[in-house]
Amino acid sequence: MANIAFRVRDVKRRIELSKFSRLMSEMGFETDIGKDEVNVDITPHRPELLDFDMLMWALEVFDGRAKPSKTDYIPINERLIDIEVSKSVSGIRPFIMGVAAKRVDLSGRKADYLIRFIEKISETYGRKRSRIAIGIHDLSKISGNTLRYEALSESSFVPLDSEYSMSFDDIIRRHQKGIEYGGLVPSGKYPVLRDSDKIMAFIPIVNSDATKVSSGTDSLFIDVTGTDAVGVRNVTEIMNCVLRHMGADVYKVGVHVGKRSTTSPSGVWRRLSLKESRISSILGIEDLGSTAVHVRRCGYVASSSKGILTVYIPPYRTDIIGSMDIIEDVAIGYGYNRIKPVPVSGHFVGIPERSVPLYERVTRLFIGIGFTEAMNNYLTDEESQFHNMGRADNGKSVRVEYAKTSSISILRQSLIPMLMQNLSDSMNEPMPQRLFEYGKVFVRVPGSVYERDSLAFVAVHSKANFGEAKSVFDVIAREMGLDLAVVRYEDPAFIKGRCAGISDNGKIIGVFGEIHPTVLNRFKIDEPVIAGEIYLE
Amino acid sequence: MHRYCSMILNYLKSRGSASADQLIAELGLGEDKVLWALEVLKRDGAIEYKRDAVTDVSLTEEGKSYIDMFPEERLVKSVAEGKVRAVGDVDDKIGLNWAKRNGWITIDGGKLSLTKLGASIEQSGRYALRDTLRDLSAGGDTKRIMLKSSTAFDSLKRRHLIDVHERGTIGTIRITDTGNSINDNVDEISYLDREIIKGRLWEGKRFSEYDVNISYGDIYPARMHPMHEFINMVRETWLSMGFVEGSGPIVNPAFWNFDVLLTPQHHPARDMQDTFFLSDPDTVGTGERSLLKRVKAAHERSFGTDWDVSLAKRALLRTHNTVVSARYIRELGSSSRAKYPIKAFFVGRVFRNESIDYKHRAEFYQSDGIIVGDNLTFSNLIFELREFFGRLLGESVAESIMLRPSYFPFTEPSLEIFYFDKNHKDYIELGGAGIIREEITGALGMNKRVLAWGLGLDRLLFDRMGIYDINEIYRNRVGWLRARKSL
Repeated sequence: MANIAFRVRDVKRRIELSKFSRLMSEMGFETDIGKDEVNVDITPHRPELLDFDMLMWALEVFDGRAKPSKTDYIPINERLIDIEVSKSVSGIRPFIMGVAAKRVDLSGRKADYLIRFIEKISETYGRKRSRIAIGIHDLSKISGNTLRYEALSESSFVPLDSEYSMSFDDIIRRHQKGIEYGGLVPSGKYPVLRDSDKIMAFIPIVNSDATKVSSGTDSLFIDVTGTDAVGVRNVTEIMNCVLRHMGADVYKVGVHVGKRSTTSPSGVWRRLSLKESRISSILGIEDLGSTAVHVRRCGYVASSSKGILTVYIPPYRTDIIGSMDIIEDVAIGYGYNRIKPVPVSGHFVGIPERSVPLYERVTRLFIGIGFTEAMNNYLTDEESQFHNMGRADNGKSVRVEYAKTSSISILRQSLIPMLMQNLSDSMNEPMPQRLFEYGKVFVRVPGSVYERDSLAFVAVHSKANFGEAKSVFDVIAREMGLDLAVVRYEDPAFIKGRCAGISDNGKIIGVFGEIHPTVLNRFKIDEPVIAGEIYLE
Repeated sequence: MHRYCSMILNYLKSRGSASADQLIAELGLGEDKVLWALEVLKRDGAIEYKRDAVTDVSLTEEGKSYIDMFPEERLVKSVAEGKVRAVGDVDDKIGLNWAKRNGWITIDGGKLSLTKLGASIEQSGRYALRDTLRDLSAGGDTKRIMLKSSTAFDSLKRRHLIDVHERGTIGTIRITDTGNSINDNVDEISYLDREIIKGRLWEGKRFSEYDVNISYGDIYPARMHPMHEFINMVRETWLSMGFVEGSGPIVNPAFWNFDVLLTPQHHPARDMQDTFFLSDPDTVGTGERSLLKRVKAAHERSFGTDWDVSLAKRALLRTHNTVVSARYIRELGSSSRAKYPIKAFFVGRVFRNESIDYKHRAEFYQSDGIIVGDNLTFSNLIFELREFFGRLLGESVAESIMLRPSYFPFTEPSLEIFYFDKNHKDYIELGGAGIIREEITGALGMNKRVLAWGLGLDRLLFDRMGIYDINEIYRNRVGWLRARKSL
């Protein structure tokens, strides 16, 4: 999801605010209207809507107040710029395309909106410039009309908004953009765009101050570079549409790689046809009406005849791949909240999962003997699971590689430490306190993770002793019909001689007893605690 | 009446009130006996007292090392003295980080400079955090310090410079009217016992009376955890609609969590920033080769980029329950005995790599579901979702349901579903849904249409219970669990 803000003032000039919210929601975008700014959330498949004019246009079309045409985005058939691409960029950032425009109006906030749009789309769709980056230049400041795109081992220029020339090595080390994006270029192989007498851009780091764009600029050259050919083409087509909606005249740019040449933008509307019967079978809307009328609200040029819907897809809709995308737009044009719900026909019987009855029985049993249920996080750290319990780290924890929260590093192997922490947080509450938890625990096995259920209980009060723990175990085993033996056991979390192991045919599957006071000190619990845990298969 | 109880009662009769410490000191009984007797007397309505919480504060090792000077103060001093000029000169990143956050320095192109605020701090040497830390270390009245400098206190807590621990104590103990009227009188019976009952010794005597209006001690029923209760409500709703329940593993390879669902391999959601990848184990098995090949082909067709199988094997904690849906679809797809249409649901925990605070958790519950069959439609999907929420939340909420188009990498068409919350006067998101893309079902060997959805449960529960801090429910504080609202 990408978020961008526009001034309320600017939005109100094009559309009334309450209508804006409503239409945005019907189109599928969340808005937040503040006093001065409107924030919009644009889903990743519609990057062109991060541009103010494109968004307003989409709303006007959706509202029926504007009508798109297939000639809207055809560039003027004249190449203003040619780019020669050197082989040296092929392993680094091979793809480049561009558009050139005249009669560009950048007065008022327009320059600011355009630059913010370019930066936002490079960050989101362009994956922080790694996939796509966009450079914008004042066309009148470019010398000649042939540019060269190549990789240099070192050079220098005056970066945008700087006073001094900097070497590229220096820019990578010390300039803000160099620090941020320097990782995208290998050392000593710096992609550069140059005209006949100067370097225009250190790609994708920073432009030269020499071709800087200001609100007085009236002609532009925009370069789109990247590591993804389709992405570069998509963004170029979008930039063409953006400039057209700003009222500019767009011209072609040629790109020459060895003997191969292409020009951009195309401004072409792709055509797609689909059967109306397929649309009906997917949507299931009885009184669908004219699919062409619905889909036109989403910006298409459309017509329907003999049960076939034919649409022309605007060049900025880089997300449309197949007929399903069109069908979705038919539904959006129709209005999701108008769709009549239709039940699925058939005979169905609900069946609960196999493990559920046991969980519910155990819960009822524990509530019946006065234990309240706790539900703890699965994620924890070694300090809680091992150190505070006086137990050695058995090295079998499932480990998380990186967590934003510092107290998360492993998945729990045991429930008792979690319940101990719950008691610690409840020290100022009346005694006695009794908690149980029945939940998942995780342990590392070769090549995999073993997920199993564990049942644990704790009780804290001035008279808590081994006898209570044993009585609880006895009642669990009896009520659940488990054939288990109890043996003397040693576990550093428990007081020696007041600890029992639960044995299933010789294999220890649990433990219970009185918690050792060292452990109580570490958890800052001031009364005796009894605890028990059984791993259930 | 027990001897300890009457000792305490007599003491209070003459003084009206006392503290627990006084009783322990003056009566020579020992803390345990006094506390026990107080509970009995309270239960009988003879005394009343409130429970107080006392806050103990101790400094951590790190906190102790800051008593002289905080690292950010040290940094600002170094910058003022010209000893430190650029980011590269700084050893102590903690100091740099906090100096920047406090607005004491600015960083421009790697160079450090003091702001006006930073300069004035350096000159005056007055820093609220350090003063508060010193107050606490000197053993001042914790509650007073907490109230006076609450921002500083919270800061110290968050930076793990102090440990805060609450203890329960008993407040002032007062004798009640009932207590005053209890006479250890031979003619008046306080407690019935076997002797009195069998020997008919109550004949001709009076019973001491109880005040019917006061509280005689709270009883706390043991209860199910509220999320367990809520999950059962959700499960029962799906079961009543004829859905079969399923489940799946929490640890999955990226293959099932992302690749099978056609999330591109360089999508930001696959970033460490949003997902919990595991370092141990770092990979887990992905299953059948033939499935791998089909998914690889689907990726290369859809995105035109190479598909790297080693990325698909990376182990992670599932970020959504759609993983379980995908596995279920695969099982159906590879079985020839299934009878369609099939309706299935899955409730389980999912994980997102978040910074935990009052609005964000790293683990939460989702309820996912699928319907598989021929000729299923978008309007069927809308029916099942509206029906579910109507049954779970009631008709008045169901009427406020709003649908909005959306985008997910694995569905088309997609929608998001909301209800209107009257308290917040805002639409609250319930979940997302759509028709699973044919490229995905095809790769999974399923030739029928699949409707799917994923709904978040925690938010619904919190709103229902009026909870502000979403982590409270999983802190399992006994007092909170005892007093929490019923669902």
